[in-house]
Amino acid sequence: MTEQRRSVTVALAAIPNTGKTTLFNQLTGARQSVGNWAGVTVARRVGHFELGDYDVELVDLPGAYSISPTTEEQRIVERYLMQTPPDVVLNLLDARNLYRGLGLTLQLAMSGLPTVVAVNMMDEARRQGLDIDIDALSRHLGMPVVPIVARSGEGLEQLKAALREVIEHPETEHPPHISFPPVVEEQVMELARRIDALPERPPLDESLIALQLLKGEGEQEVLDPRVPGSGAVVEEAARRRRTIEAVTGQPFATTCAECRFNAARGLAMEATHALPRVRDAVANRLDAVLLHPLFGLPLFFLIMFVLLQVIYAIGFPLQDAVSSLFAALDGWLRALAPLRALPPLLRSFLLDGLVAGVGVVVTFFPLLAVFFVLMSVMEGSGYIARAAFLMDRLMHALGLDGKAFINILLGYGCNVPAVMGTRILSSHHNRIVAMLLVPFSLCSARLQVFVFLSAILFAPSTAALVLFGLYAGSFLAVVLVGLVLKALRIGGRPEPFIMELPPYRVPLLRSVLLRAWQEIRAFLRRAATLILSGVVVVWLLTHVPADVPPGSAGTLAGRLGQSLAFLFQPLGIHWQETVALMFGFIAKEIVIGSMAVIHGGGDLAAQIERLVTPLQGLSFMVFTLLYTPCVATVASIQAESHSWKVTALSVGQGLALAWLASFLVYQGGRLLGYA
Amino acid sequence: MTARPVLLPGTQCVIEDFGDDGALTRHLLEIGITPGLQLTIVRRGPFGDPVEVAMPGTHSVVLRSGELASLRCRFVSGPLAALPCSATGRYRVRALQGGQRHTRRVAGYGLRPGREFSLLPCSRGRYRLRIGADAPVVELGRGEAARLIVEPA
Ligand SMILES: Nc1nc2c(ncn2[C@@H]2O[C@H](COP(=O)(O)OP(=O)(O)OP(=O)(O)O)[C@@H](O)[C@H]2O)c(=O)[nH]1
Repeated sequence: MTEQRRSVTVALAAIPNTGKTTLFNQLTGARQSVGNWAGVTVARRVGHFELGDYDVELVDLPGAYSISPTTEEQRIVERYLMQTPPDVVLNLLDARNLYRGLGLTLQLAMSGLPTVVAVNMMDEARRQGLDIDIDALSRHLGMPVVPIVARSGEGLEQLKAALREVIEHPETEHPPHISFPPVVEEQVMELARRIDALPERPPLDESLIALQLLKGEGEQEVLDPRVPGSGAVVEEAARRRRTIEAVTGQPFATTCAECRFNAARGLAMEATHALPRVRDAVANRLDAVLLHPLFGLPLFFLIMFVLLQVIYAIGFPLQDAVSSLFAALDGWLRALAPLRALPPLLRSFLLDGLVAGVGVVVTFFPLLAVFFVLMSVMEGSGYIARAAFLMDRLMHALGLDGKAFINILLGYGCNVPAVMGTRILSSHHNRIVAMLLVPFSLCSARLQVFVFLSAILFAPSTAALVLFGLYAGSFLAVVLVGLVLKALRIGGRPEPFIMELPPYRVPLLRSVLLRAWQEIRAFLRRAATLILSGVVVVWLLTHVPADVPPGSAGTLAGRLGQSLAFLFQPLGIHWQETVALMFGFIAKEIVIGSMAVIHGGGDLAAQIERLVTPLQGLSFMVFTLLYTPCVATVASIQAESHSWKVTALSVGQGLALAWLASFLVYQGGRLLGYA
Repeated sequence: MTARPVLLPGTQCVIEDFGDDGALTRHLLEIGITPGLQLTIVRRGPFGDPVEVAMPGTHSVVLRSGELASLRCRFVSGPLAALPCSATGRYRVRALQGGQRHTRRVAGYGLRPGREFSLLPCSRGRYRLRIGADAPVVELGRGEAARLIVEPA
């Protein structure tokens, strides 16, 4: 054997919720990178670990029930396996969900790719008294099967040994034969022969390719249309499908799935001697309370209320602490002799542009950490799926599923993590629509502006009413925009709603912390540049030319504000406030501080009271509520959607709605006789 | 019997076919929900939708009843109220649910577990049952029918 280390690629494939992420983290530790699958919003994680002489590159495939292009996740898996097949597949099963998981296992077995099967959650199976005959599974599947507990690391050494064995001797596997009706067998065989004769085709078993083509969906993922003769094969597949359907009298996809799952049921029975009772007593009792027709929803809102309270009690104070640290740093930098020697414009660029931008990015870290700790606790515990169950009917009216409600609600804390959290949603359509709706939820930064302004402009009892009205307006905006997006079919075709209810589990602290850390890193890598650029643009507008005070009439922003007056006059918004709105793009809480600067210092409250009527103030607040969320939100939308079109739509719809609503408020108010 | 049962909690039925070859059907097939599988309706969401559906050997699944409109599922057992009015025929009482007063009254009609009866066409939204050849017709409202668990005889 040579001393050279060889690298192999192993793909981790499993249906959702089998502990794939947990196993991936166990195998690769911190040696992983998170990116995206080409052109889509699904995360792509790759990690490395050593296996004797081998450097293993472990690719975490998205959770998929089947190799077929029905969902975005499954399309990715199909394309990956067909176009860039790995050396070995590591297939993970949930011991309590064998039947459903084996459907995918059998497809993988048919592919002819060397496969190792790991049966996870053996601890739960044991606790439930479920005895799994691993040898029988291995015998019937013709491939190594290893029982593991990904959570504790039990069985991982055996799993690695099995992987190594298959890497070195892939030929020892004897995948099972799934029996189909004779007409199917016959047609598959003949089509397989045609596929075999093609000059170029995926290096997988030709019967699997034939079966995929016969389903008549997503052929381009399977056969490259540029390969001569592939078009004819696809046509032939369609003809043969009609032949089969004429005999079996049902859609081919049904026949195909029936045969596969009959085999899966047989295997699961073989391995467990009976189809196990999946739901445990604890889950039954918890569900009876948490999903109760009357108490389920109040409990859900109570839980969400507590979550938001935790965010307000821990997240925002931490954010403030980081802000003040940053302010101290900023003060120290300002006093620094070498910086003081710089030309004023350059110095201002460094301090008010770059350093301020870095400050915006950094102050999000603690907030993101708190958010994603809570989010992954909710996810890992199994409660998110229950919440989705409770809220689905209402969210369906907006064309979304129940999970999206959680994102929008968390947006009332802060829009940025709420947008990032759309990744947990189940389809491209839902992710896009949710991230377009989140910015209308009234986040804490906007709340600060509203509390400050309404305290100045209104009597205390009216101020409370105004705040309540703004919350109601925010809610209304979410619903209205949701309905419009649904009618316009933004985000493409919604996928049907199918959600497995996972068992309740105690989330693993390590996974929760790792997730928070990964989210912060992703935010830093993907959104930071855009945030920094946004802050610099605002700096440029408000600080150039340098010989006038920042934000004053002479600056670019001031001039822009004045030339936009024709747009803002009908809203009762003076150019000074227009400039403050531009500042607000950095972060909404800056609006107030910037007003002080723009108005040239002095007692801000008195000045506002003098210059702005209550109606004008209300119109300004409505505009602030609805217009472009802060640059960090815009950057997260860009990072999550990978689409400038969606990002532009988000900014555009916010501005348009803000203008319209403020116009109605201001002109309506004037008609009613207010000033 | 081909009439579609209403997806009321407690209903058990066996999938006959999906009625179409759309995206939802393909989805269902891929997660192992295939013809011949026995489904149990566990519960419905607070606004009547979605539906939690359990099946042997695997985790339960949440679906929207609207998306299941073309599913054909053979009634195996469940509350009488899950049966549409058109599902006339012979049935057997499996169990009586609900409070003592209710069970006593229903048992008073002769509807005890194990007893067979004929379901006649409904009238004015009330289920009409005949227990013996010349026994009087028993009328049950929706509420009572929801707590009478029956199976085809
Ligand atoms: N009891 C037990 N729980 C486990 C085991 N492995 C994972 N889990 C838990 O199962 C849940 C799901 O695990 P994940 O690793 O997030 O599953 P996944 O397959 O990546 O899920 P998706 O990302 O939704 O596809 C988490 O709460 C884990 O802590 C195990 O071996 N035993």
